[in-house]
Amino acid sequence: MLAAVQSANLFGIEGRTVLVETHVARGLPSYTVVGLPDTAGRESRERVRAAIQSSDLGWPAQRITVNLAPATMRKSGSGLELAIALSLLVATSTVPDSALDGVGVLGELGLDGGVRAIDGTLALVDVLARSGVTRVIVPFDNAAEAALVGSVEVLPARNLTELRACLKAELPWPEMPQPLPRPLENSDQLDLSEIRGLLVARTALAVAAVGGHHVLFTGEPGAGKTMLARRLPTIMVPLELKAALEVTRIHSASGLNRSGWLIENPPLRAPHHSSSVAALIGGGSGAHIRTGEITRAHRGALFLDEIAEFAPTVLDALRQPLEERVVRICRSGHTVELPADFILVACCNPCPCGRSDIQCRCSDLVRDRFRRRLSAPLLDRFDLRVRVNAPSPDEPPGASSAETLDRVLVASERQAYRLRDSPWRRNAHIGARALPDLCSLSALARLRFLEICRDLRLSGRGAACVQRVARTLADLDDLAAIGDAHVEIAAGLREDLA
Amino acid sequence: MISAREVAAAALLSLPRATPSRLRTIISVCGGSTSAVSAIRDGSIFELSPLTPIDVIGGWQRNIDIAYEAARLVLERRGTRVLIYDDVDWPIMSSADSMPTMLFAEGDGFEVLTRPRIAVVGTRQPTPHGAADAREIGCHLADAGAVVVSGLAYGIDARAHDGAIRANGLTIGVAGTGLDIPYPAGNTDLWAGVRAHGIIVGENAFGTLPSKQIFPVRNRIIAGLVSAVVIVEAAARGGAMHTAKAALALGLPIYAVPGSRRNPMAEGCNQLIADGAIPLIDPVDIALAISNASVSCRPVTLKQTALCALTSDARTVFLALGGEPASLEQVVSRTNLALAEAAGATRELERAGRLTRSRGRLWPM
Repeated sequence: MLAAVQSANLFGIEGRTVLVETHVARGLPSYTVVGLPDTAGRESRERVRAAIQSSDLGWPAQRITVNLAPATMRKSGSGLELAIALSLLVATSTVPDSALDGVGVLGELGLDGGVRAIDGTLALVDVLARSGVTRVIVPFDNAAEAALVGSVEVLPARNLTELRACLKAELPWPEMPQPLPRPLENSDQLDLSEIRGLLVARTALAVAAVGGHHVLFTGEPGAGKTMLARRLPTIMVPLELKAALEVTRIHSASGLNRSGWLIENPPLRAPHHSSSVAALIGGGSGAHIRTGEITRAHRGALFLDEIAEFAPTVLDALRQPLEERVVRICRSGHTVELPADFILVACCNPCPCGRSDIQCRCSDLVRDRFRRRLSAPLLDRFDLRVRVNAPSPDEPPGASSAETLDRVLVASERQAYRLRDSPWRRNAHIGARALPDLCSLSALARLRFLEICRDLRLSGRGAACVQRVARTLADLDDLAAIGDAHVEIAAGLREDLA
Repeated sequence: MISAREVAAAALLSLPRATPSRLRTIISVCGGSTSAVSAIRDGSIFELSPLTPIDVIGGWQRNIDIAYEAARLVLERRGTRVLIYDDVDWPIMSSADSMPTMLFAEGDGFEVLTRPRIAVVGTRQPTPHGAADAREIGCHLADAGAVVVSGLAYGIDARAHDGAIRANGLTIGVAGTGLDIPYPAGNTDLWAGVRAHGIIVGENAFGTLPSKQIFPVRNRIIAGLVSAVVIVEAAARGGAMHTAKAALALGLPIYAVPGSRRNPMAEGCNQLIADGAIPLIDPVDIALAISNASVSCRPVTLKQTALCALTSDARTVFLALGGEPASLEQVVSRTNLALAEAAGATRELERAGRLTRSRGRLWPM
């Protein structure tokens, strides 16, 4: 009268294994779930009971105790329901004990006994696979996603009745579902060739795509800042398998990806400027910490349009994740570390009136005050600060995304090769001490660099940033040495906001 | 040491309902501010100035003692001087009723009262070209020995004062507020600079706060102090045009710096020229116009490298700009220079003082 089934629960974006134990004993009929479930977990009692009864599998009029082990860990959500139901069926001998040996079970139940899709399948199956499970039963709709893990056999489940028959080998397991059509991404419809001119801003965008430098576009409304920023993913290197799995896992855990496809293009997240700190950074209380936009933009880009309109507290909360590329969210009892390695691309107007520079009547005082909405420490984290002036309509369209991407790919390879033995992945991350080795300047470039530092009165941080950007520019030209032209352009890409 | 007639004048100014014309009347009929104060005290003012309403004089009598004492204290503490219209060196030529009868003045350069004075005024939001012109005109005027008179505001005013200060010349700041209230607050340093290189004058009592009406009224004093007015950049409507109107009423020559029709800040100046103002083609002309002495072509205080001393890239970029602002992209497309070359050339021009960046564009100087 005792049964145990392996399942798993989401914790941040990681899965953690949970053992669902069910004890059915004689006594007054009752049904208790222990082991720190949250509200959704407590409500699962009713769904489990209804699902078993609608499936005509017989609800035992006995004293039922369900334990979610480990007992001290808080469990969240409804993904344990199928495991609870199956353990109950094993405990009442409706399903043979041996059928669930080495099987992990995931899924939510409907009142009719149907098995419903859950969030975070990839992370959950992954953790089950690592804990020694060889087969997983997952909701039919999540089967494609579960199959991405590869090392486990995926058994899709549609409803309890069918599932019982499959487990008793009375029916064959259902075919794996046909994958949904690949969701159309923003970047599939956008192309850089739609933008005229803007030579400098385009260069900055390519530099950002290669070196991971954060970029701020300022300029009058309609100049093309937002168009440029939206097209950043079209020129970013597609994710390699490990990164793609990581991104898919994050998006799945955040409830953004149910198509079952691997996300191979770098994501672009564009939160509205009314977003709260928790929405951007991540947070939530109780067992389930939700990812913020910065984590959803991991390995991709975070686009903050009209950055001056964001609340200052929200922007300043970005500073630590920008520096460390992870965000640690601490709640009493537990800490979750979420990855947040993204390129920040931001746009803002130069003044509050939103008219073109010629027509603008804002006094210098008003413009100053507007500029000061971005704190100096935040501004300092933008390696690329580019003024975007509206191109004249007779300018020819610029290079297409495909052409730019070719250069970016070559440059990224060069960058990866140079950084292969270093702890860094991209030029923007190179530590100050490694700069002389990894971003060495030619003699001519060094002269030019010193001249620029003097002319522009660059701080130490500013000078290091010019050096890193110059390195990326040299990568884009596929050159081993940084030339004086690269230093010159790098300095030009770091304009003061005036 | 503050003289008794200055204290008396300041006391008269602070009396209730003491308009400039009433003050002018009683000072002239009594033969000086000191005797005017004693005439008010002993009541003889009633006979001397029969046209002044009795209730006004009554108010004066009640307040004169305390006003006198207060004026003495504040003038002594601040070291303020009071310029009175019957002084030998009273700087305002016009005796129109609208002109003030006395001015508070503070600063180290009272020799400004005996020098030729020229007003340099304009918009508070100049383009980099206007700002540079104002500074250059200020420099030239100071070099030629003239006093630069302006209104201590942001923009053209500040640059004009600054030009005079840089040339180690003399300047007068005409304040709208009380002399103890530096306004705008961002120009506090400029106030100190003007005090050190001339004087700040104002007609309003200490503690007068800035208000919308004060500044147009102040502008008539600027016109009254000078023998010519230079408008550097002005929108079609604005404070600088008030000054021009006041100067026109006094029959003063008005110089206006012409600008591009594409520049909204040149609209006022171009309109003035169309209406008969003298176009100021080169800042040095104004210095030539007021002084017989030889004038250097370019003030030494403004450092600019000659174009021929620059690299060919820098010259190419400068010529491609054609005197108008442009973005770096426009420069690149006009010159066939590579981005890095153009960026290097603009930096060189900037170092040479031939170019500034403002509002995302490059402005040739």
